[in-house]
Amino acid sequence: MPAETNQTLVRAQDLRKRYGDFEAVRGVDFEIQRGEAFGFLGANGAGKSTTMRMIGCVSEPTGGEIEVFGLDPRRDGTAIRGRLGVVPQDNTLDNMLTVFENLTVYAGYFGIKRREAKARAAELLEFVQLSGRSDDKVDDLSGGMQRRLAIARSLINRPDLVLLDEPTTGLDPQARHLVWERLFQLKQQGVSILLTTHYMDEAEQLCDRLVVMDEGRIIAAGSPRELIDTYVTKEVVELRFNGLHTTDLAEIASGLGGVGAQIEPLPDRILVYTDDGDDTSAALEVRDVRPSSVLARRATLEDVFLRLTGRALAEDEA
Amino acid sequence: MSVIAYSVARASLSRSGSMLARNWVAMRRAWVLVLSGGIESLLFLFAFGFGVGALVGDITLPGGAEISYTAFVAPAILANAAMMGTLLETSINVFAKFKWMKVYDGILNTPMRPWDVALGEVWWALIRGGIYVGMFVVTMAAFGLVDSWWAVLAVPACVFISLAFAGLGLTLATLFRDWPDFDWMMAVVFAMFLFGGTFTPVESYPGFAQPLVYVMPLYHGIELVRGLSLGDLSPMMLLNVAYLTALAAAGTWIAQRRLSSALYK
Amino acid sequence: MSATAADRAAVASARPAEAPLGYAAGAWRAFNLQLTLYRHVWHGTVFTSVVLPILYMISIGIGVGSYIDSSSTGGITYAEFIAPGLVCSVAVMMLGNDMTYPVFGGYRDWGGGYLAQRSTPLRPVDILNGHLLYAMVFRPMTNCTVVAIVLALFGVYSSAWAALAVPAAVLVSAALAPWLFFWCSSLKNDAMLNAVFRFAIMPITLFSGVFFPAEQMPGFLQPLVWASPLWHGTELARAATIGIAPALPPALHVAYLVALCVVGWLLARRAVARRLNF
Repeated sequence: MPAETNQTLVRAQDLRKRYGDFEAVRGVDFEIQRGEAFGFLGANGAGKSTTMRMIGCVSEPTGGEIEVFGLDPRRDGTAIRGRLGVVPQDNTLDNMLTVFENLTVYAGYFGIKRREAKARAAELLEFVQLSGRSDDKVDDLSGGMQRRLAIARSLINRPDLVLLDEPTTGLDPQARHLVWERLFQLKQQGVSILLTTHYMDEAEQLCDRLVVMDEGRIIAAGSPRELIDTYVTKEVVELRFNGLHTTDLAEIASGLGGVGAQIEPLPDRILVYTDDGDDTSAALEVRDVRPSSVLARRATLEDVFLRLTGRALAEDEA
Repeated sequence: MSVIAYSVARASLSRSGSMLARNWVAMRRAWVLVLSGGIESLLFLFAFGFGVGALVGDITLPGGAEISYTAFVAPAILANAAMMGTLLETSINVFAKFKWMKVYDGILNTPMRPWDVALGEVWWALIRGGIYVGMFVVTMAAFGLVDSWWAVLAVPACVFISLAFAGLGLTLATLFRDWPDFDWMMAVVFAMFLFGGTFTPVESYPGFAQPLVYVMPLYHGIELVRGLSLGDLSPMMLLNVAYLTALAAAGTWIAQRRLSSALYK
Repeated sequence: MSATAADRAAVASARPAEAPLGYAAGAWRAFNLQLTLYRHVWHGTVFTSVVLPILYMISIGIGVGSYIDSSSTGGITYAEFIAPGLVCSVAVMMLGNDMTYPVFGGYRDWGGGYLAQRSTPLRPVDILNGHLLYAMVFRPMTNCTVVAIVLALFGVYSSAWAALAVPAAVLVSAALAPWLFFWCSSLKNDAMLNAVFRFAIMPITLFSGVFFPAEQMPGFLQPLVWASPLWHGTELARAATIGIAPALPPALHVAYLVALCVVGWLLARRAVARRLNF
């Protein structure tokens, strides 16, 4: 048996991808183990999708090493893709085909026999709660349903690893939760999952381990809890000041020395990192700042990203 | 209904003008394509007018006059160009714009009303059809296929054809569901092109087929344009004009009734 | 972890080492997408690929033909003259549908046929071959055969050799399809697809000696006629249906069409690999 018996599904070393003058991925290292849910977290353009495509063997690295299932994507792309399930960001469903045909035709690409393909398609539609829509055209499905169909399609070959690129981007909250629920169930069944996201809550919900990417590099790696423990404090106090501008906030922030572990002024609020939110809130009251609102909450991956890059994730989205 | 009637009554030219302006801006970069649309008809003229025409030589019309086959076919292909230019623009392109390109979604968030959009599209279709007709007439003249000064009137005659098919095209755009429907429309269009008296005088068709031809709108367009470009005027041409005008009125009326429900989903 | 997890792990490791994907198998798998799509749209394509050529035969072949003296078409009736070319031009017209929009859309997320295929074991070359298998073999073999059979009812064939008009049509298709694939793989804008139709499909159909002898074309346009695959195919088909000697020895016509196919395929293979490696 090849190297995969040691349970490492993907191994990348100094992986790079350059498009002309632009280097989208600038030397990343990571390993993905069997059975884990691994996340690439970062803003748009951080290099997540490019990395994903290199793992999916549809994009050739321009530098470094990558191994998937112990195989070399440059040589064994076909064999590797045969064991991957891929949910692309834009679904790439065929809107001329019915829901059911989208699955069976796709199964054909893996050389799955028709009878088997039909059985699996029916079973997977059940799994993503689309059984009643078998004969509909893809156009008639909502965005959330299309995404679920794309997930079902990615499972048709019983993949060893499922790649999901931004699985819930553009979905409404309810559709999002439905997708999460399905992914969580997959995870419980022991399916290895690799996903990219720019949603912190998604990463927290689904990922056992993740890397934070920024401008083509990995700037942090670990479990969600580890990242929070390492890069931020347990809690965060958010101070908002109605009517004050960025420069005012920076000034107020500079006057808060000694409160909490770290102070971060943002355009619309000030964040105070602390291990005890209540204590800090009390300490702030003593000072002569009068915020219009004070909110103490648990630290999230959003705060990690903010600390690491100095930017909020949402800032890049516009 | 009254809402639509009101909006039709108030349809201001300036609003449909801004729809036209949008198309103009959008197509400015692709003007080569707009122009090259006229080339299709010229290709037909060269292949059938000159290529096949050389095999036929002269043809005797039912009236007894003898003319070159090329001069016989050319006006019919011109009428066809006027039809194609507007029909494609108002049917397929309008359908694509609201179904796939979602062009109108943004426009309807402004004071523009469905009818302004429709009217703007009709202007645009007429301009496009007009460009094709102009290119064609110039080519005809260059090859000596224009026999009389009446031929100048062939251009306004084409406007009747264009208007008739603009209303029809808009109506079809509101009825279509998906691509295969267009394939069927093209089927009817090609059938009219091949059997609307384009290539042989209708009088030479078998008796049972002739009434079918008289129903085809394209046939009336062809008769009108052919009569004018050959300088062979007849009172029947008034009937041709009446038929096309009636079709234009009916098509436009149905289209405006259907458009609001198609656009305000 | 649950029992299902163990089951899954078992499935994964029990997976037999798969034989490497052969090119024939790859093309066949990709072809099945086109076949499934065809089942949805065939009724819309029947008109262009079957009914329209028959209508041309009635309107032009019989109608206009009644005004044409057989001496101008080498002693055969005009209907006999255009029949073989019609069979072959069906192949060209079908490519106008099959190798334009579907190729362009294959790379887009809204059509995405190729993109979806790309994340499976299929290689770019399999995706190309699968689509070509459909457009240059399946379609002419079925539709041109139907047209050829219906045209027989018009009494335009002199012998059973007429059946060879269908392979001639397949050759025309094969010579042209890879080039269209190559062209449409390189387009940035779907508006340009109309240009493919206007500047390739239409002129080829109208000026390849199908409706009037190619020698009638002005001298400076003759080289274009000689370059047209449809002209070569029509020459071959006419030899088959009515026994008129082709312009060149048949082997040369065939060789030209095959060469065109091979060069086009090499270009198309490069284009598809470039477009699907990103």
